[in-house]
Amino acid sequence: MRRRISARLLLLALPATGALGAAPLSPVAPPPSSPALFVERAHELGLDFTHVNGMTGQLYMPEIMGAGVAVFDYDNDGDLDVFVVQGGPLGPDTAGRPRPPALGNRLYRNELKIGPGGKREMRFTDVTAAAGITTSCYGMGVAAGDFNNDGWTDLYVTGLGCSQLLRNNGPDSAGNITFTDVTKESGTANPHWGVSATFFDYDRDGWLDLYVGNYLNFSFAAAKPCRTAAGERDYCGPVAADAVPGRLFHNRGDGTFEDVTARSGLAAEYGPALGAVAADFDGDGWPDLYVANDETANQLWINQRNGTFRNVALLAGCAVSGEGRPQASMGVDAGDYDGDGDEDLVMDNLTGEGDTLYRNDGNLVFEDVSIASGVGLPSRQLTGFGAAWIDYDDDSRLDLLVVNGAVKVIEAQVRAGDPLPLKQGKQLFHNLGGGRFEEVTARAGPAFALPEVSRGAAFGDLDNDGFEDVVVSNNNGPLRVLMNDATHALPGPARHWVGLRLLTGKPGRDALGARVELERPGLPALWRRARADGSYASANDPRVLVGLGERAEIGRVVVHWPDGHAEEWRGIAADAYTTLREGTGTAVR
Amino acid sequence: MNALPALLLAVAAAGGAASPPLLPVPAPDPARMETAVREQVEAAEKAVATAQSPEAFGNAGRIYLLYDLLDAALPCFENARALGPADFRWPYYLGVLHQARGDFDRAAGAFAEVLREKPDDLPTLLRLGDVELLRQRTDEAAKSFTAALRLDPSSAAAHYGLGRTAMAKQDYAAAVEQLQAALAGQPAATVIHYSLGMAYRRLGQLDRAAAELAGYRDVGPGGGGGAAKFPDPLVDQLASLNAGAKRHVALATSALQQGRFALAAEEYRKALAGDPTDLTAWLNLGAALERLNDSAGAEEAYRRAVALAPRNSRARYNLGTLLAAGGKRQEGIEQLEAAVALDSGSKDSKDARFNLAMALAEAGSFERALAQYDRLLELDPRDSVVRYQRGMTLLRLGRAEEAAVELGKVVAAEPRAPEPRAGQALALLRAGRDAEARTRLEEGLAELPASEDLALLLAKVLAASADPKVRDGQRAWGLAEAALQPGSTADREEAAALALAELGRFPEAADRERRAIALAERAGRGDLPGMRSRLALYESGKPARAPWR
Repeated sequence: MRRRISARLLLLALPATGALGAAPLSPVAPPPSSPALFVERAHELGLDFTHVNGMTGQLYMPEIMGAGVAVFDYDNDGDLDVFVVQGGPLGPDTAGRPRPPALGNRLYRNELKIGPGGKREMRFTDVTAAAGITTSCYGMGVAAGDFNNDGWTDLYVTGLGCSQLLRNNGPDSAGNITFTDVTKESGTANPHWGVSATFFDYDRDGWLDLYVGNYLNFSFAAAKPCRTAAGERDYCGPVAADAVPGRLFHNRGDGTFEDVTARSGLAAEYGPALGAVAADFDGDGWPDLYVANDETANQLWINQRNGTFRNVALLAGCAVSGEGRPQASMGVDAGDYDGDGDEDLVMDNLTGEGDTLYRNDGNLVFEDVSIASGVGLPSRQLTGFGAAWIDYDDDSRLDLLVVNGAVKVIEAQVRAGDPLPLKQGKQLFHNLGGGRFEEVTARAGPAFALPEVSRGAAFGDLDNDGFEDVVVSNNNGPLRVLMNDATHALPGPARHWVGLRLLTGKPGRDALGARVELERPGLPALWRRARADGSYASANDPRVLVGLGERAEIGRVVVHWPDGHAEEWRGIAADAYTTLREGTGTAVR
Repeated sequence: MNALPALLLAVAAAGGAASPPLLPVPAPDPARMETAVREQVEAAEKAVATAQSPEAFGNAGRIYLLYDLLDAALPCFENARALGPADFRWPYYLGVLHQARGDFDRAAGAFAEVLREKPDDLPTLLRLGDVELLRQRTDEAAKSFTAALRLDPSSAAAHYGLGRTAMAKQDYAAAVEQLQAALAGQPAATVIHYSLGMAYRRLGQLDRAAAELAGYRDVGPGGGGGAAKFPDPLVDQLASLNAGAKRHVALATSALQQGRFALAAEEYRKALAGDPTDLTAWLNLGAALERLNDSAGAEEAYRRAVALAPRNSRARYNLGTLLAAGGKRQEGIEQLEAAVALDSGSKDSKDARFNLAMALAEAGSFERALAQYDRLLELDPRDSVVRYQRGMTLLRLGRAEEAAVELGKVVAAEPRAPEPRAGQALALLRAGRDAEARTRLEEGLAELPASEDLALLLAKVLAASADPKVRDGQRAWGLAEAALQPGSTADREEAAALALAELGRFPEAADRERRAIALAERAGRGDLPGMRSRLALYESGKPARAPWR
């Protein structure tokens, strides 16, 4: 029983199996005649935003990692607004320098109008200045949640060596809604390279706590140039610097937070975190946390119901790939794709690894079904970032949408003279049922074939038509808004849906983590979770949008609230959004 | 050289009616390459333009493949195959390339083509098996791995492939069998531990799963990244073509993965002559030298790594571990403490903390060692090795009752390990619970009848317990006599002496004790003062009692 563990190697120079680095193939172009499922409309909608990564030719790693985007209803007018994270100048001489106003994060208000007959007019207005949004540093990601339970959704912005908690003050006497930077007084400052963050109430005390995933201990001074096998300059990978532990902030309920990282156990194991999603993975009613780390084992932190967490990812089978290899794990999402009532995991990875799908079989047993599901192989030639389970066609099954962009230069784009030769297309997978997916990128629309360096992606129903849309943040490129047009593109009878906004407490905030069990006559129940987290560095629509397929009948709707109790509602209308307030339903025992 | 693709097409078109059509080769941008690589690439391209031979295309393809220039490598191998269809190397490289790109259908086609020419090619069979597994053609994968196993019955890679195939078929019992065989062939292959852990998990054997997963994390030097490897001459040759600055690193890493530590050290030294700031190379050089038992060289390499990156926990860890094991315990402890402080959450950090605890215990700092074991158990309460060491540290601190409880937990978790059973019995003896110690040892011996440690400790208890109800001199002598059959050791002689004294055969006991003392002196270890005092007892016609106190 003696064991002396000897020296550790850093076998970085050669791939372990003799497999060589994979190169991307050309994106698949859609057949010209097929109607597109998604239509790109950013410019038309007034979302003219271009991310600036600050590249100077030095190939600094942070310049290719940002940025995220949030869809959230900042003004409580019933539609989703958009917050976009900006990069900016980047280099050793940029720290602490004032930033040009144009290079700040932006808030766009959604001016959606729904006329008679459901005709929609949508336009976004830049309200950054009016809302008092300030930008203190080079941004990476964003999380959305109402931390002070005042009914107005707040934002937490991550960045390179900095962070901002932007408190939504609600309307002033003139009706203007503004934000205040309360980072310092709230105790949530994170002086590291933060990427993804999530608000979740881990101790079920009614106040949203905050987890911030940190990536690497990067410094311009210590940055060494990295090269390809042929000696060409290239971006470095995560082994070029040490990982930094993520941080868990406990909400005291008085506007301040306490850093409980060590006490909670989360400091015990960590890697370079890029993705994070909170969900009840073991079905005990308490929110757990999954952290996706770059090229090191991921963590599944199971809530011990006493303020601490235990990482069980390895034995649970969701720390590394089914073949035992840590993967790049950028974007991540949890959702019940197989309709068995528990949270399955999907994450996207580096070129050559493919997207990974861990099916939750209950009792903390996950199975890597990436290949068998049909998701793993078609994604091998791409590097994924933003990703989410969405039922894009409202057929009641969760599909998968992934936005991509390489992190290692693509030779063909170098030859073409592209200054940022990392561009790749997006992918859409249709859930066929029975655990199988089919790639339908070719039908998704020209925007999917367009090579871009996509990073953050926020998912939500921007026009409240019951079909989920996507806002994509492109590194050093324009923001894209992929409006879901499946209702027109899909053949056959119309699809039905139901939208639910779940509010807890008074005056009522989005009940992040609440689970909806939606019963349908003669059909299996559908399970969905109210969530804003997941994807990559982004915040999603907190409302629950459930596709019903061709049948509009809804039976009982049970909401399992984050504090552990459940209520039911009946008679909820299809094809509309309904707000369910905690305490107004019938208690379920 | 950027005009090369057009040139190739023109030459091929002029090659006459008999020439197969050749594909254009997209020339990579040489301007960004380092000089040596650019010259090599340009020479290969020139050879292609001049000769238009399969060898020229194949060589250019290999160079592109080596440098991850896959867009250019692909048409080169296609052209080589078209011009030299009888040469199995070109479809093999094409298969490797398609496999790397994730185009498994075309990879399978290429490997099948190789097998038509060379049906008994082991690397091709193994690669085809891998590809078929990814294509979810489990029967074809099994066929390929089985054919590989027929060629080399000891092939860990073939067993591993069959194990994964069985996993894909959800035949977890068969998977365990194959994966265990794979692990026996390549004990350092991390990934096999992982697959085995997953198979045991599916069989509901969670303890075994946890043990395998602990092994998955523990594989270190020489593990080659933990992969199940197989001889792959055509791919292995690529490293020798490398003309770039990374050439020596590539060769060294390849040598390290193959366990050729002298060559690895030599190549790392060459790499470091070119780039003395390569932290990875210093660390791996140190590891290679450790494997060659060159502790001084390894120490120097690790010190260079620490000097280069004082905040690198792995550098501190490697140096600290080496120093602590090599007699420079205090400095080793300091380095390991630094490693733990720099990195408190990773796998390396746990290993650093464990080695720190071991070094502290060896230095007699039992309380500090205990604190480190406590922290490790907070992180992983199922780690039996840590719990065992914690129990033994408690014993050394004189906290026998606590040690007995702790070691009892290890016995429950690891019933097939003799050390915790012996440790538990010793703790019970120190606590004065001799009867219980005897029972535990009898249970242990029933479970592990081949364990000499347990047999000798039981013999000593039966011979020398202070409790007359526990003693059984005749049985003690039987156990000691059986242990002496293969030959004499100090411990066996000691047990025999205690038993003989209990039987009143004091002159024989004294003889045995003298032999034990001589053997212990020769070995330079053992409780010599205690042995001498027991000899004095026997010489005066008295038995020894409770020598474990």
